[in-house]
Amino acid sequence: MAIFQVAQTYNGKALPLEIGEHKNITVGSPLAVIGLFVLALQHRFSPSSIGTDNLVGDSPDLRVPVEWEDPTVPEPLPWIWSGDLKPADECNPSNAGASRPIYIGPSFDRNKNIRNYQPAIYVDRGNVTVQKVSNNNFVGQHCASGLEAFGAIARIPIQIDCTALSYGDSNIIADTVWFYILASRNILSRSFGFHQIVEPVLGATVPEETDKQIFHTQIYCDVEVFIRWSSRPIAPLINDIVLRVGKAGSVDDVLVDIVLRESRS
Amino acid sequence: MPLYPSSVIHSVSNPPLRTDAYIEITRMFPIFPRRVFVQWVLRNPVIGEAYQFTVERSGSAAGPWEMLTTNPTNEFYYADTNFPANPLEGEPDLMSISRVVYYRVTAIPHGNNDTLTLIKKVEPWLDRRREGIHRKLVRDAMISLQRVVGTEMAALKKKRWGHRCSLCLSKSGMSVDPYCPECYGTGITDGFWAPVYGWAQLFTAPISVQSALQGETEMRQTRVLMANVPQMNEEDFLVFLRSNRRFRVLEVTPTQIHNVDVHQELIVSELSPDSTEYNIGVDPWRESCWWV
Repeated sequence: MAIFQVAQTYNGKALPLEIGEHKNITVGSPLAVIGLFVLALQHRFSPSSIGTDNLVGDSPDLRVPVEWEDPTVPEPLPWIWSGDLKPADECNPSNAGASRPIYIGPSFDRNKNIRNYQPAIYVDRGNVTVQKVSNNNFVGQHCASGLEAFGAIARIPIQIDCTALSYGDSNIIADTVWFYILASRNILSRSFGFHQIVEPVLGATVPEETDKQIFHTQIYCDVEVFIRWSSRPIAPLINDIVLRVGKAGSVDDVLVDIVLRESRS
Repeated sequence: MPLYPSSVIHSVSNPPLRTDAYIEITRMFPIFPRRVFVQWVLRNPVIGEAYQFTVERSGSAAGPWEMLTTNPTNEFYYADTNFPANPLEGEPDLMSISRVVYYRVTAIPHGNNDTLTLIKKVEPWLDRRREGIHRKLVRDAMISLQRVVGTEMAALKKKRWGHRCSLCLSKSGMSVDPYCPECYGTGITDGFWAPVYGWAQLFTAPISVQSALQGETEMRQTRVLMANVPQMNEEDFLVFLRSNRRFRVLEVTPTQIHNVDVHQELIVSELSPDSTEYNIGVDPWRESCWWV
């Protein structure tokens, strides 16, 4: 069973869009990529994230490697992701020895039901650039219709911000995320249909004052997505109208025909 | 041409800072009629070392010393209320113009480090004829907080020395669990000294909501007016007992009347309800301290 399920495939390969994603989110768009990273990180910090079902795709060679002795037992991370985090005043942070719930979501999410919650992981993106892979991005042409096809690689810098109340906590969460992306970037690329995920950079840990002092550690990684588009020349359509006007002799008749009488099927 | 070599000028203008461990008394505060609050702090304490404190009193810097306590409840202050109402010849008397009172605080380390001692005189800076006015101003300020503007609160000071936490410290000295049940993320066992109960006035302020990387972040920074003792510092926190709202201290400013420190005015930040400070127990029915 695949744990990372994408909504669409092309020639049997995944496309970068999460299953159940909103219809307005385009395949491979920056928001779709952010959604996929949130999904992957939530899976990493989920208590059931390991074991024999830990396959990416249906191929056993994509099994996520595990390092602890019994792969059927969840890795004892100090933080677990929970989809139904309670408001802050219902949490019991002093439960000794228990893992603390961690919030994982996109940056600037105004709809979450908890505020000032720590620890947390926020995913955002930086400036997206497009990288040429062919002359003028041109990849093909359909001579009869004049249709031209283009392709390029969009480079989307993903920023993952790990916040916690102590320097050490923020550092370790960030290290976990950083190494997870580094070690599984090939698997994530294949699962999500990325061109590649460039080796991530683990940033410095810096303090910030909110209601109390918190610490940020950022992880940067460039995600490359192959994007395609096509353009159709409109000159043949205009030539067609000119010919009809010349043949009819009256511009008005032709325009009335086009606007009112011509079939629109 | 300089008059002195530059190295000499440097050494004169920038005396070397002390790097050894020593005691500094930060409050020596007589309060009407016969009470003295003594608060101290260890500078450059040996990391991981715990100390046992003794407090002694004398009418002379040379002694003899009267032992007041060998194990104060809180290891950062002692409240001396043991002054006789009608002192005999030779007994300490806070009302005397001619007699002075000295305190000696000693920190005895549990390990093999040096014992630290400091002797300090009560009110060494004042014209003695003004001592009564000083104490009256302080007492009036406290009564005002208790009966007019203040509500019950508990002040918890962050530990600055003591045994290191056995659960959450890395070898680098960093706490890796801010919710550690042993040290509350401070790195020192128990994290905070026992609460000191008193009165304080909490001013109101709106909650400011910021749209930040972390979604919407809520903050409320406000002011608190409290008695001049115990001296508060950054990262200490206050619990207002009627509502159990907790505030972290950001800044401390003394307020004065006639050049006498009578209050301390704090800038505080309200803590999020999931903060680890909410796991530290305080007694909401506890009577306030000795100075009321």
